Amino acid sequence: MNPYIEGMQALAPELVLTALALIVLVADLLTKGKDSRRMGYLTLAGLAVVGGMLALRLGEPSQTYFGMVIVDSFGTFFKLFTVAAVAVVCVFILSDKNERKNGIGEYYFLLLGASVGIFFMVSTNHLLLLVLGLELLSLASYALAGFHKGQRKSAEAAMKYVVFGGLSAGIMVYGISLLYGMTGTLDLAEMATLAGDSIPTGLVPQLYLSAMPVGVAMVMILAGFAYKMSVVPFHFWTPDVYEGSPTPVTTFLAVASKAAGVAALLRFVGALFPVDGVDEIIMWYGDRFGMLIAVLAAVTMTLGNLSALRQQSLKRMLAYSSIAHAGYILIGVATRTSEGFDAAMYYMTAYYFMNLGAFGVLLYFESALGSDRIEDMRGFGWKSPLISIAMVAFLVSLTGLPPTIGFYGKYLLFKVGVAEGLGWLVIVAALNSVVSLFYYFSVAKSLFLKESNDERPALSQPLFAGLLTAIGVLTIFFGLFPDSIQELVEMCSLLGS
Amino acid sequence: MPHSQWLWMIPAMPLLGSILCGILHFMTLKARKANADATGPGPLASLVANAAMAVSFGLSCLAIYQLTGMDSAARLLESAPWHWIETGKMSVDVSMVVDPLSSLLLLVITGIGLLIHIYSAGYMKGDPGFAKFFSYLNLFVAAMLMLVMSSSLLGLFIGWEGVGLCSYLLIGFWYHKGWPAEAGQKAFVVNRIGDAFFVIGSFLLIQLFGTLDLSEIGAGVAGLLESGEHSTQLMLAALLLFGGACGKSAQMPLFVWLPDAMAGPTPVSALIHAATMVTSGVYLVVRLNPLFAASPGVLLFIGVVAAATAFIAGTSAMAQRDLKGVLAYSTVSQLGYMFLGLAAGAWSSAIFHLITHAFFKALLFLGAGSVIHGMHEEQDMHKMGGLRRHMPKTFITFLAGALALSGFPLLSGFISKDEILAMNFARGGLHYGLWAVGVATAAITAFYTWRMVALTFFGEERFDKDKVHPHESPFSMTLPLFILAGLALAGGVLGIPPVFHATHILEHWLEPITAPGNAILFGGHPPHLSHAVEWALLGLGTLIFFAFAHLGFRGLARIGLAGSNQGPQFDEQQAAKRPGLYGKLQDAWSIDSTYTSWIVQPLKLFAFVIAVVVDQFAVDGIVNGAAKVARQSAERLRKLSDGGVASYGLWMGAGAILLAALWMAGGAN
Repeated sequence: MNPYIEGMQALAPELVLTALALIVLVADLLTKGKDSRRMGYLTLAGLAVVGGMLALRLGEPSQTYFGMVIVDSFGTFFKLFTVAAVAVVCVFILSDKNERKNGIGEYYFLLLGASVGIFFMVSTNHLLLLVLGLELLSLASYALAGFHKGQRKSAEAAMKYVVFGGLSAGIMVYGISLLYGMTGTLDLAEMATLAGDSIPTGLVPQLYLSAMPVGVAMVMILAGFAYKMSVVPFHFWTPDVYEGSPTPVTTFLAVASKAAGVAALLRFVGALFPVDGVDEIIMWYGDRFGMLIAVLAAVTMTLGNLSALRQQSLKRMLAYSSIAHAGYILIGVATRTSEGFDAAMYYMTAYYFMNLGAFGVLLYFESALGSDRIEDMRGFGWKSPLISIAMVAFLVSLTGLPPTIGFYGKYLLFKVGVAEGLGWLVIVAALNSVVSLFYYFSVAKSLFLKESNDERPALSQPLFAGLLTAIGVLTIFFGLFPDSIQELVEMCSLLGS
Repeated sequence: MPHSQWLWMIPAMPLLGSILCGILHFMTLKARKANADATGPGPLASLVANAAMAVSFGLSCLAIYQLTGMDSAARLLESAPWHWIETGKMSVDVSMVVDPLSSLLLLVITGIGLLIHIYSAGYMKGDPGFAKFFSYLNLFVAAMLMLVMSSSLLGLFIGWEGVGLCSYLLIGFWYHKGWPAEAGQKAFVVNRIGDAFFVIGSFLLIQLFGTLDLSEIGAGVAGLLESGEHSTQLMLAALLLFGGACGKSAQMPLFVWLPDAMAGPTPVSALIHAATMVTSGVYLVVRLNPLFAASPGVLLFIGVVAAATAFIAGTSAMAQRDLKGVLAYSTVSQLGYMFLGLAAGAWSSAIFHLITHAFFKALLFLGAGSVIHGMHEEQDMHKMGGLRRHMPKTFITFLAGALALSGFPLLSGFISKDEILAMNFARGGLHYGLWAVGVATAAITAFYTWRMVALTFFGEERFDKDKVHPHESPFSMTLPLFILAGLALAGGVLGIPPVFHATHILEHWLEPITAPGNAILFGGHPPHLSHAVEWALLGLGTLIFFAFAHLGFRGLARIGLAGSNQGPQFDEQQAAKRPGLYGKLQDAWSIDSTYTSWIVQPLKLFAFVIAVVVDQFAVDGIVNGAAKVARQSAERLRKLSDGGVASYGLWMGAGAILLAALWMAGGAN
């Protein structure tokens, strides 16, 4: 068959998603933005189609198209969760009265555009396409962050996001260009295997030549990933942007965008520094690269958790909490083993569930109370028990206690961490979990154990409440029956087992 | 063998009932919030709960019916396994199993459970937490069924903890009174001590056998014994599991929670603290009988503990004034009997006594509940008397229970108790000593039982007749009494003593379960007594019953029967004559108060020190200090951001340089 047509078929989900984005934009223009709700439903329907197409591809062997795009189960795994997360965000937008006002069609267009960026980000080993995907995601995100046009905070968030996004992208692309200059290729798989004949190309010869320039390039590229994942010290934008952005956008940034960063980093590390079957010098510097990531992990989780401790605003607290969770996920990356990557993927799944849920509850409180201060939620648990109980499930999961998916995710990460000689990091992480218990449960305490002095009634939003309850039930269900997710992760494993 | 998936239904029905009753409870609360006088849908709960129990009982009957149709060696129903956990080398499959042993307990749990549910509908009528009560009660049954039906020690442990939780909830059901909440807490904490042993024992079993499957563990013991290795670990595992059984089944030294547990509603005492939950320790030992048979030393230790428990609790029952207090200590004492049977390797006898005890003790508790109900929540026997005229139905059925408990010849309690004692006699050696204590306890049992009957139902009416008008309980409460009375009287047919040349139904039924343990312990069949000795022991039991029941009855009630009002005065005379002894007995040999002063108080002091000094100063200081540092640095970062985002960039740059330095650290290759 014509490779072009074949490639187009392989990229069908991406194409459908792009078409969907354009259709939503045009349809919104045609209806003059009067009926944005319909755009939301249209988006949901389209996402369902894309999700179905992706689900059918799970388990298919990995193939590369156009020399750039890899279609494999690993990518499909992240795409599926991206689709699910964007769908949940759409429901958030549809359910929230504040957001509905702003919810003109561009909202969905930008979300879908960002998703296309994520799709390409997670399915390539080619640094050029990676940067393109990253930039597509970032550009859409900047606009999304500033979506509450009239609000100063939202504008500030967008501004900061643009500046830091630009800075980190600059650093990363500079690092990539250095790497390209040294190795002569942008394809990571090629980079790892090129031996170089007369002139030293490829990573291995370069490392033998001199490790310093490679190190600089690596650190610069790592900075780009760290920025997307909000890893310390590239996290400064996170609390401000998360706080200033409309909450559905924050959800998208915290969940889908961060996951894209994780997936891309996994591909990068997996291609260049896998733990076994490589040249001696790759082992040597791979260990060092792993150590860099481990240090970042320790610093990130500690700083994230400590900063979250005294936050008054639930939104800001969740922002810092998401920084801390990036640290946990890095444990799996730092091991550079198949098991470690699987554990990171499992934790990512857990992260999807509990954060989509927690941000949803946040959105609910914002519209019910007009505030995101934890103190204002006093006693509200008795008014809207279903959502609040679901919230407790998310908090338990975020802390990493049984019987939730977060517990099993942490268990896997800790297990692989100890097995791969990162015992010290696991101890740091365990201590951090204890610290996190304090601030997560202050929310539960506020919801249920404090007297309400607020006469405002609970909101009645059956669709929204049903969605959050369902996520809450799944959070516990997959904690009790972790096998199904485990099988999915193993099927989609990047390095194979 | 085809899987019997429907077995899951047996525990699932009460679980469903529990959830529905819980919903009803919340609906009631809501209705009451809107209108303080509204009853809400709460009263429906008894219907839901009873229906769930009835279905569960029906299914249990079906299961046992299917078992009877099978070959005696192959009697087993099993649901498809549920692969619960699969991680690394450890995999846990849980399935629901009905074999001869669990089938018996199924009948006891669902059958007596159903009767007690019916009774509760009358007893708890009008209680504001009516639906909540049934929700807890159904949940308890579900957990108890899980405990006896699970194929895996882990599933058993879930049930074990579940019944503990429900016990806690139900003991403290009237928590607003204060002391029931404390009693519940005590029960929970003391059980926790036992559970710690249980868990460690389970870990040891995983290490030894690599599995938690009960039948695999049982089958693995023989092989391990032959290899001659790990005998110490086997012994330790048995000992630790017995430690768990001690907590749940209220044996020395962990029995102190059970008398306090009487703070719960009386049907709870009947179901949980007499008939079912407290016997789960006995079930555990029988279930793992090869493991215990492999360590004769542990069995002997169990015997000593059991004998001490039976005797101490029995003597304590002699001096109680609280009607339920007598029954509580009596239960502890009877549980001692069951373990005494286990100590002699009489697995089926222990189960036999478990069943008959469930019959008559549930009956006695329910009867006591009926009395308390009719007396407007009065529990002090000194303030009762002469109730046989006011509550004839309760009286007659209570009498049946008392006869069975105190060992009236050929009633259920007599036969099962005799079997345990005979087995200890047959074992000889040190078991003679255990036998002697058992016989002494039988005498004590007869005494306190008839003292209780005399004080409650005979003699002068010592209550204030203007304020208290004793009345018979409603039909829903007396019906279960009559059914249980029938069972208590006739339950002995399950295990007719060999001297009467009839089949011992129970021993026969349990043969496939007990055979491995018997093979290890006795190398085949347990020892038998000659008929002459059997007759002698039966005669001795009869003699003891008449002598001591007479003593208990006459000593107190003859005075009362004569028309004067001296029943309680006898107690007081005794107290005056031997103040030390009497007080000691009333206080259960001061074991509980010793714990309080030697363990609980120091622990509380320690906890106080931890809470105030360590936690508030040290830990909070560190945590708050760290938070303060973090906040301050965040504050500082915020200030930096005021000038512009440039400083953020500075930090990022600094971070990147630091990382690059880290890359180079350790030197080049």
